[in-house]
Amino acid sequence: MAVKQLRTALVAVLAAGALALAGCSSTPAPAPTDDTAGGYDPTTATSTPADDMEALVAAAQAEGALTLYTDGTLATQQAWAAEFTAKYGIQVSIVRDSGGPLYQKFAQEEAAGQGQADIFGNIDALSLDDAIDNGWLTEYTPEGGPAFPADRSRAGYYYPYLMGSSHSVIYNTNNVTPEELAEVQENPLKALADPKFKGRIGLCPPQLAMLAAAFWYQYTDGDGASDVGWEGLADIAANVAIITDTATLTQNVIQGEVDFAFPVADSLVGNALKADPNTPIAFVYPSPTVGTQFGMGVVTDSPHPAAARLFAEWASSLEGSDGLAELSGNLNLREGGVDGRAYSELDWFTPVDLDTVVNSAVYTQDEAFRDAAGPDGDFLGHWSQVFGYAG
Amino acid sequence: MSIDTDRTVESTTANGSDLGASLSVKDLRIAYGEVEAVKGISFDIRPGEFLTLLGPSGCGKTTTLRCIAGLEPASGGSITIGDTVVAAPGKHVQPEKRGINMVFQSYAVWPHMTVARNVGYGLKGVSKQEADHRVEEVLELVGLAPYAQRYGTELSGGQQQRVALARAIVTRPKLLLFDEPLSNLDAGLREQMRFEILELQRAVGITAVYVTHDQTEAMSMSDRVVLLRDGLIEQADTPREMYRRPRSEFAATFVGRANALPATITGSRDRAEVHGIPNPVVAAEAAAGEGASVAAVFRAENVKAGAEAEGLENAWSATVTRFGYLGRTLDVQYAVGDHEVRGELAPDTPLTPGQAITIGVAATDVHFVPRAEA
Amino acid sequence: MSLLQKGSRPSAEQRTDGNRLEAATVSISTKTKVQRRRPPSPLSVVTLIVLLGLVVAPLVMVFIGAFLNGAPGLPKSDWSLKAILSVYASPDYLWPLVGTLILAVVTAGLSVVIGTLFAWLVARTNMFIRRVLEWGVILPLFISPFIGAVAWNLLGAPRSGIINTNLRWLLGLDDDAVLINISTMPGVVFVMLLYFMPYAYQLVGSSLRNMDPGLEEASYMNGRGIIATAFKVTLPIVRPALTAAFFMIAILATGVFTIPLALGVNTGFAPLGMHVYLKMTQFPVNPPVAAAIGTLIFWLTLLGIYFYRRSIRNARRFVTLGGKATRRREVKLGWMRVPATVLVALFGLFAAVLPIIALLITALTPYAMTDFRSMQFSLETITQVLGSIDVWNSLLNTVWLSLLAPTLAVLVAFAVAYVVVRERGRLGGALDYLATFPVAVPGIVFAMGILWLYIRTPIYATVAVLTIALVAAFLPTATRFSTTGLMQIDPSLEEAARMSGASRMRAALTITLPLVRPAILAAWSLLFIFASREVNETVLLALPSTRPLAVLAWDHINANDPGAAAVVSILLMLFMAAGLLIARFVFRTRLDSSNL
Ligand SMILES: Nc1ncnc2c1ncn2[C@@H]1O[C@H](COP(=O)(O)OP(=O)(O)O)[C@@H](O)[C@H]1O
Ligand SMILES: [Mg+2]
Repeated sequence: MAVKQLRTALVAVLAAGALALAGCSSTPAPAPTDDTAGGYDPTTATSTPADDMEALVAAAQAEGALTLYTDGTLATQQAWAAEFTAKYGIQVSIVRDSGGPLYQKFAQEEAAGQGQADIFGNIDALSLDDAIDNGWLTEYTPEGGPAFPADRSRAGYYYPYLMGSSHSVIYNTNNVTPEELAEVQENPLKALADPKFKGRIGLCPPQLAMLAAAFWYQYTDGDGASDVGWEGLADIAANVAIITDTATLTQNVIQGEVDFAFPVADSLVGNALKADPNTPIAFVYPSPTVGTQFGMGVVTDSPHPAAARLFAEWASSLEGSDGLAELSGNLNLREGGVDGRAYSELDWFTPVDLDTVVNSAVYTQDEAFRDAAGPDGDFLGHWSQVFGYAG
Repeated sequence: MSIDTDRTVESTTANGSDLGASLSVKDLRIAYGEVEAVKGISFDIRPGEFLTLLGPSGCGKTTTLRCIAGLEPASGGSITIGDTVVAAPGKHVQPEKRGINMVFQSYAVWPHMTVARNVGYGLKGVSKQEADHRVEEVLELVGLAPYAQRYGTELSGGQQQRVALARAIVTRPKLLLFDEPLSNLDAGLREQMRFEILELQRAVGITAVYVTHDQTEAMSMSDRVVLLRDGLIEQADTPREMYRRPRSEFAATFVGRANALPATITGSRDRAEVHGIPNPVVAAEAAAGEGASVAAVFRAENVKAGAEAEGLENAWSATVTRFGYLGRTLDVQYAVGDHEVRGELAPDTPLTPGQAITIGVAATDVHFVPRAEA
Repeated sequence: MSLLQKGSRPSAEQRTDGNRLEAATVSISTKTKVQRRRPPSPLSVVTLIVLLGLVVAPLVMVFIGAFLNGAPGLPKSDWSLKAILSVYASPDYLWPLVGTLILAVVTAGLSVVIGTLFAWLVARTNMFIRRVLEWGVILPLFISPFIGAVAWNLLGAPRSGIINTNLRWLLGLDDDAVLINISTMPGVVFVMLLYFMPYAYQLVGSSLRNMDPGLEEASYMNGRGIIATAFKVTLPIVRPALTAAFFMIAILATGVFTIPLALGVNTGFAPLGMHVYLKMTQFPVNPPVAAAIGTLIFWLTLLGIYFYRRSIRNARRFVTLGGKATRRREVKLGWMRVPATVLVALFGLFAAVLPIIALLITALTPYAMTDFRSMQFSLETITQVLGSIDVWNSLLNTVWLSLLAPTLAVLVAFAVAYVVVRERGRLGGALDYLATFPVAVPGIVFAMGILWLYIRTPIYATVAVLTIALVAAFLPTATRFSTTGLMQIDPSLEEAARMSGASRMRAALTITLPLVRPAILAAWSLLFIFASREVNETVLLALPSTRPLAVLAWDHINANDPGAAAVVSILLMLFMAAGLLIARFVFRTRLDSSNL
C-alpha cells in the first residue's frame, strides 16, 4: 500500500508542478487602454510626438508582450530584446529563421489573418517590399528613423536597426599560414582557385539566400566576372569540401574542418568574436562584394500594436542601436552611434571599401539579376552544375 | 454416471419452469460475406428444455448459437425468445438486451478480475448487498466459494469452467447457451461436469441450448438433439429416436457406431440387394420404392457372430480382419464380400485374424435410409 | 411432434425438393442480404471522421498545394501545373528518386540484418553482459536522429572531427591523415543505421521472445545444429517481423533529410526528402514544388505501405504465444562469444556513448574544439542556456506535447484497432489503410499540410496544432501496437461481457481496455520518446510560445550555436529518461526492449 500512496503523491506533485510551470510562463492578459487623450492612438499612430511618449509606454506596458520575427543571430537578438524588457517590463518572444522561410511563415500567417508578429525583420529587402505591397507592414516613423541612411531604409516603413553587413571570405587563424593569408588578402577568389587549397574551402551556395545569389552573380555577370567568371569558379570548385549555409560554414571554420569559407557575412564573425574573443576566426573582404542590412518594420495586424511602436522607438534610439552594436559586435548604421564591431581594433581588419559593396537595395531592383536567379532563370542551375551541388 | 437415454420430453415438462423461456428459430440463415454458413434452419424449444445442436466441426453449430446470442447478425429468418422477436429482417436486438447468457468454449474468464468480480460482473441495477449475496450463493452452488478472491489465471481448467458457469447463471437468464463447454477438459472431468451442468440446469429450470460435436455428450444430456450438417438440419429427435431410427446414413454413422451397406431396394420393399453379397438384406419395415438407392444401416452391437448368428434373417459368411480389446467389449472388424462390417462381441470370445466366421443381424435391427450423396 | 420444419432434411425426396427450392430462392436471399448489411457502427463513423480530419485533410492540402504557384492562401497564389510538371515531367528528380530508393533499401536491408543478428544474440545466446549491452541498442532511441547526426559530424568530420584529430596525434599520423569521413553517403547510411536499426531490433526481438521454444527444440531433436536451426526454423518464423521492420525503416529512410543535411554531405546527390526541405527553405522558397515532391514520395511509400501491411498481416498469423514457462536452451557461442560481445558493444559505443560524449564536450567548450590537447572547458554555455526563460518554456511545451500526443494517438489507434479487429465492418479496411497513411509522406510535408489546413483556425499558434500533427504522425505506430494487442485477446472475453448484460461500451471499457493495457502502455512509452524528440513534424508549426525542446535544439543549430543545442539535447534526454522512470512507477510497468 505504501507504494500505491507514494505513487499517488508523485502524480499529485507532478500535476501541481506542471500547473505551476504553466502559471509562471503564461503572460497576463493585456488590459484594455483608454489612454487615447488628444486624438493620439498608440495602437494606430504613424509616429509618436514627444508629448505622447508616456501614453505609448503606458499602452505598450498594458499589452505586456511583443513578438519579434527576425533572421538575425538568435543569441544577439535575445540579449538585445532582454535590454528592452529590462527597461519597459515587456516580454519579447523571438521567432528566428532564415530569411526565406521566415517570410513564408510570416506571409502565410498574415494572409490567413493569424498574425503573430509585431515587428517583422528580414535581410531580404525584396521580402520587406513585398510585405509592404501586401499591406502587412504599416506606416510608422520612429523618432530616430531619419538617423539611419535613407538608401538602406524605406522611409516610414522599415529601418536598418539591425546592423549592416558585407559578405566576406572567412578563415581560421590557426590553420592559415602568413604566406597563404597574404595571397588571399591580395585577391581572395583568384587565390583560392590554387590547387594547394584543395579540400580546405567551404561555400555558401546561391540557393541559400538572395544575398548569396547576388554575391555569386557579381563574379559571373557583374564586376568580378572578368577576373573570375564561370571558368574561375570551376577552378575553385575543385578545391571545395563543403557546401552549406553560412552558420554551418562559420562553425566549420572555427572547428577547423575547412580553412576558408565564403560568402559569409562579416556579422557572423563579429558574433563569434563577441561570444569568445579567442575564437580562431577572421575575414577579408573580396572585391566586389555585396552588403545588406536587416530592415525592421511594424506589422499592420500586430497583436500588440503599441508595444510594437514602442519597440521601434527604442530600437531607433541611440540607446537601442548602440546596445545592438555592442551585443552583436557589428557595424552601427545609425548617425552618431558607437562602432560596436568586435574586430575593428584587431590588426587583421581592413575596413571594406563601400564603393565595391553592391547593396541589396540596388541588386533587388536589378531586372537582369532577378530574371537570372528567379525560378525561370538558369543561374542557380548553372552554379549547381559547376560545383556539383545537389540543392 | 450412466447414460439416461430414456428420459423423455414429458418428464422435463413435468418439472415445469417459471424461469426458462421458449425459443423459436425460423428459417435462420447466416452468411459470412458470400459464404452461407447456416442455410435456413428451424427449430423450437419449450421452456426448461435442454436441446443440443450436434454435428461435425464446421457444420454451423457455433454460428447458430452466436446468432441466437445476438453476437452474429442473421442474414435471413427470425429468432423469437419467449414472446419477443429478437432477430428478424430489419431487427437485431443487442445481445445484452436479450436476457440470456452463454458459456464459452474457451471459458472466457477475465484474467484481470477475481472470481467474485467475474461472477458479479453482470449484476447491474442490484444493490451491492444483494449482488454479493447472489455471487456467494452461485459460487456455493458450483463449489467455488473458497476461490472467490483468486484471479482467473490462478485456476485450473475445470475451475475456470465452473466460474464461467456461475457467471452465466448468476444473471438468471431465460435461456442459457453452451458452446462446447467441455471440449477442453480431460475425460474424467468431462463426465463429472456433464452431470453437474445437467443438475444445475434442472435445478434452476433454465432453457438450455447446448452445442457439441461429441455424440455421447449430446445423447446423455439432451431432451432433444438437432443434428446439423453443412448448415442444414439433418434430423431433430429425442436421443432415443435418433439412435434407434436414424433418418439418414449420416445420422446413423454420426450417432453411435453403425454399419451402412450401399443397397438397392428390390420388389418386395423390405429387401435390398447389396453388391457382392449373395442374399438380399432384410429389414423389418418396408422402405421407399423399388430400385431406390439406400443404405442398409445396422448398429455394431447388433452384429452377432458364430452360433448366435445362425437363424437370423441376415446371415453372411465373413472373415475377421481386425479386432481390439475395449474392456467391456471386443471391437471386431469383418470382411463380407468387399464390404467392411463392424461388430461387438463379448470380451472373452476367442478369435484369430483371418478366421472364417458367420455373422448375422436381425431384420428388426436393420433400417433402410436414403443413401448419402457421394 | 413435428419438430422438423422447412429447410431440414427428413428424407431423400424432401431433400432434393428442398435443394431445388433453395436454388430458386438463392437470388432472393442474396438480395435481402445486401439490403440488410449491418450499417457502420457509430464508433467506426466517429473514427472515420477523426481520421479524415487528422490524416486525409492535411494530405489533400499537400496535393492542392502541389497544383498552385505559391503557398495556399497567399494573395498571389493561383492554380498552376508548373510545380507538378517540374517534378513529374522532367528528368531532374529521376536520379534523386532512384538514389532515394537505393538508399532506403540499403539502409533498411542492413538494419534488418544487423538488428536480427543482435536480437538473436541477446535473446538466444550466452553472449557476455547481455542485459547491459541491450541498453546500448535501446539508448539510441533517446537520441533524436538529427542530434545524433550533429554529434557524428563533430566526431567524424574528415579534418577536424574529434576522432580524426585526436587519433592523429595519439597514433603519430600525418596531419592530413583521414581515418574516418562521415560526410559521405556511406556516412549517411552509417548514421541512419545507428538510429533506425533499433526499430528492427525491437520488432525482431519481441518476435523471438514470443516464439514457442518447442519449435526450436523440435529442430534440435531432429539432429539439426544451431546454425541450421537458426536459418531453417527461427528465421522463417520471425520472417514477418523482418519484412515489417524492413518496410518500416525503408519508409523512414525515404523521407529523411535531417541526417544528410547535418552531415554536410556534398556529393551531387540528395535524397528526395532533402529536396523537399531545400525547396521549403532555400532561395527562392518554393512550397508548391516541395508539395509536388511530397506527392511523389507519397506514391513511392504507398507501395512500401502495401508490402508493409501484407507482411504485418502475415505476422498476425504467426503470433505464437505461450511457452514462457519453459526455459529456453541457451546457444553456446564458443570462441565467437568475445567477438559477438565486442560487436554489440561497439554499436552501443557508436550509437549512444560517443555521441553523448561529443554533445557533452560541445556543451562544455566555449566554441567548437575537437583537439583534446588544447581543449578548455567552461560552464558558461550551460548556465546561459539554463538561465534563459526559453528553455523552461520549451520544457513545459515538451511536457504537454509528450503527454498529450501519445495519449491521444493511442486512444484514436485503439478505436481504429477495435473497429478493424472486432467490428470487421465495411469501414474497417478503410480505417486501417488511412491510419497508415501518415508514414507515406515525410514529416515536413505532412506538417506543411497541417499548417495550410489549420492556419485559418484558432488552434494555430497553440500547442494543440503541434499535438494534432504528432497524433497523426504517430497513428501508424500506435495502430500497429493496438491491433496486435487486440488480436491476442480472445474475442469471447468481450462476448462473455455482452452476454452478462454489458453494453458494447461497457464491455470495451471494463474488459478490452484493461486487457490491452500492456500493449497500449508499450505504445505509449515509445510514442512518449518520439513525441519528446520529434523535429520533422514540429519545426514548421512551432512558435516561440509553443516550441518544444527538440525544436529549440534545432533552432540553436540553425542559429550557429551548437553549444546551446547540445545543452538542450542533453536536457531533453534527461527529461525522457525521467519521464519513462516516472511512467514505469505510475503504471507499474517493467521497462525493457519489449515495451520501449
Ligand atoms: N468469421 C467467419 N468468417 C467466415 N467464415 C466463418 C466465420 N466463422 C465461421 N465461418 C465458417 O462457417 C462455418 C461454420 O462454422 P462454425 O459455426 O464455427 O462451425 P462449428 O459447427 O464447428 O461450430 C464454417 O465453414 C466456417 O468456416
Ligand atoms: Mg464451434
